[in-house]
Amino acid sequence: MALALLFFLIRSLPGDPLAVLSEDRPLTSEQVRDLQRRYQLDQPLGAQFTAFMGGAVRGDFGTSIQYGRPVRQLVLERLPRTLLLGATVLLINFTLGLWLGVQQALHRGRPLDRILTTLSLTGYATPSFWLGLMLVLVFAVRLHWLPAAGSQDPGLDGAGVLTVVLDRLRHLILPALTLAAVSIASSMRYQRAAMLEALRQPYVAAARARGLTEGQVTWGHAWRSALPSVLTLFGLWLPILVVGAVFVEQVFAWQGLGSLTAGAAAARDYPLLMGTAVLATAAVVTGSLVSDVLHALLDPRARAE
Amino acid sequence: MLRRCGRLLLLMTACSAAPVAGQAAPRRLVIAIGQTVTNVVPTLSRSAAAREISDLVFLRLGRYGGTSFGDRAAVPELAKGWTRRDSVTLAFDLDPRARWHDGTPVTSRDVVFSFNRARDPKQAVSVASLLVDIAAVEAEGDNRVVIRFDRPYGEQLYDATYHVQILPAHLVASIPPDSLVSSAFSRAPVGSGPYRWDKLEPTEYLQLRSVPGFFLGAPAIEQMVWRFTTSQESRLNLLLTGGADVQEDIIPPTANLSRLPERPSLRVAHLPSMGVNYLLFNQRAPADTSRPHPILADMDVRRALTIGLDRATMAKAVFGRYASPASSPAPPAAWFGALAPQPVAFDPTQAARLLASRGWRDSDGDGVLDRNGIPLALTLLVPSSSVSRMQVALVVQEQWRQLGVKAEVVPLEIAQYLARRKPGDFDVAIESFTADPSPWSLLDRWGCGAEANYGRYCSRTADSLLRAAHLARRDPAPAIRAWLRTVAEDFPAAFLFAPDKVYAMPSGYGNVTWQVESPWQMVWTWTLAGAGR
Repeated sequence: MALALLFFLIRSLPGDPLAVLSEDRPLTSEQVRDLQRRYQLDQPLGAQFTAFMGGAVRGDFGTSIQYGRPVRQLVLERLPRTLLLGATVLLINFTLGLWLGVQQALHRGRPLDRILTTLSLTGYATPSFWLGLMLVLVFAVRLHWLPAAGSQDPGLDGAGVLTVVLDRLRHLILPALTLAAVSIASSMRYQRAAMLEALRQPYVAAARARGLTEGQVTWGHAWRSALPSVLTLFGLWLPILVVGAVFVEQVFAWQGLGSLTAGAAAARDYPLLMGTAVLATAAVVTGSLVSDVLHALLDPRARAE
Repeated sequence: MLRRCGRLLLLMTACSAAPVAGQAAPRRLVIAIGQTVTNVVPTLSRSAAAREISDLVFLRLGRYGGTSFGDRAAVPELAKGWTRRDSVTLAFDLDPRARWHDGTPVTSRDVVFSFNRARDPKQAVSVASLLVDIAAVEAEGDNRVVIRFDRPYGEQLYDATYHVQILPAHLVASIPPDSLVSSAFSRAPVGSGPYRWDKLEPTEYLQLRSVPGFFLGAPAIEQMVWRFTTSQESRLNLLLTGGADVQEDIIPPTANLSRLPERPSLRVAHLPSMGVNYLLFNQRAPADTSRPHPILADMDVRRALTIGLDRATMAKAVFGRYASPASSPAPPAAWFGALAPQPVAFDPTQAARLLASRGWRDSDGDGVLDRNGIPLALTLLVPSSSVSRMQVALVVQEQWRQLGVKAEVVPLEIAQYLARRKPGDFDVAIESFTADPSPWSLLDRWGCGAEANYGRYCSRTADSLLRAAHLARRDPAPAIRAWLRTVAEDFPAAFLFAPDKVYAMPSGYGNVTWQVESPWQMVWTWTLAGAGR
């Protein structure tokens, strides 16, 4: 259903992919007809949809009009970079973000809570492209500590594994920091609220009454029960991080799926656009599934239901 | 904690910046470009950047020689020379030193194969239509190729050399055309040029390595690397931090130039481009293209709108000193650009007078001219992705406002822009066009009924002049000059300026030669005078 909706919405966009293709050198009517045949654009929309679904079932999304290469190949080329960046940001959000959220709850109303709230909300309100540019200006252009763009340096042929890994990490730091800075506020706020709720529960008071240390009370009792509700965020964040980091990808020339999707939309590259849309849909479903499974694993009440 | 983080960062910087142990740092030139290149096989490469890179891997029979007419339209490359047998036959003698990068000699079989493939519209969509005048390509032995044309005309040598890069038949002939794009050859092409394919890190960079035994002379720059970076800001940052040595199209905005001193070794190099920017006037009514445009069908109005624009100031505002005025579709960098008439002067008084003489007056005092109740209001279509064209649109809007013309700027993403331009759903469109070295290619945009003639301009006189030039066997200049004058005087567009191609690059290279139609084509002749890495 979602795929059908996506397919017809994308096809209803004004614009012609072959017009974009022929911008460089005008095509004759015969050449246009030939290309229309090649990309099945001369078929009725219903027939195109049937052909698309037939291919999609086999994992074949056709050939990109813009690149003239199989969509699957293009997506697979970009996927590792996207996953690397996305996974790093998720890791930061769900480790540092949750830890900071817990600290805020433990220091509720005190200076640490207020400072962290101010910082996280400032990050949340900051446009990612602006923050990215500022970080590049400071850490790359002025200090020369980190690379300004790309996900790897050319010219490392024959270099050792350590050099290559460190090179990748250097390139990862700024885009990951940028994305994390603008997104960490969500996990912090959710965790803070859930933790405050948990800390008010009678079993926490009971744990304290049994003489457990504050660390055991916080992490062993309160945090465990506060965690499941925060994990629902994972389902929301996964699709955004898979195809939604367009601006950050632009600023850092991080060639991931976000910029591929944006380019496909601009060129009306229907097969490529559908390929990335299917992936985004899959990310939504996977995100929901993973958060449900984690929720069930961590919360016995959910398992009982 | 902070100190520890700082130490880690420094360690990572040191590890990655250091040259690989035991290896001398290669002399390489890293160029930051705005496009992503996935394929450089001639019949498959789709972008301008891909074609420029392809020019270093795959040679032609001859390189463009600065004119498209006559038998000096090319300088030898794979062919060491050519002779004219009659008015429709050229014979090319291949250079026996030419080798494919796998060591196999280049033979006439490769040339015949490549031409046959390029002439097939199913295999080479954009090239086949340019080769329709070639009747046959035949081999005479291993080292001679004979090309026969349908009729005598002045651009035979140009057609035989400019459009077709030679492919290795021994590697490509066995690959079905439909499978070429996904073939091993496509992933690691073998050419005969000064640089061979080294590595493509998809979406990141493409690397070529010099061919030490290249038969025309070994390149001094050992590696050429193109880094793909779509955002101009990122390209500039790469350049300033040493992640790239060269940035293409560093302007607009001109403010970028002021940042170059941050890396003192950089200098600005510029060369005239084959591009022209212009305001295309639609001569048919947008709602019904069978009728003339209610405002722009009048040549005096088009003339007034053109001379009412201060194009010199406009060019300076957008491109600084890196643009030259244009008066016709001929780019000043093309050999026939010198035949174009002088640009019409900026004259707002004369523009106002012309409009008044055609009945356009501000009868209701609202600042907008009108005639018979119709205001002189036009939509100005502009692709929002083009920084320079967006800037130009705003300047045009303001300058026309001072004339009493209301221009509504309509920024559209490129696909929408093209979708409205093709059926003629616009009044004025801000266009940018890159010409081929042949004036004949201009017929695509300015000929009656031509595929890309979106403004529906039609002058039978102009068309016949260009045809006469194309068929001229001696001096085509008079016919081209007359064609350019006719077009310029019809004002099918307000020709604005021809922007230069501007590069930021390191100083210290010697014998720097640029080819206007493919800038990097001669990089193999550059010398290292203390530059490089």
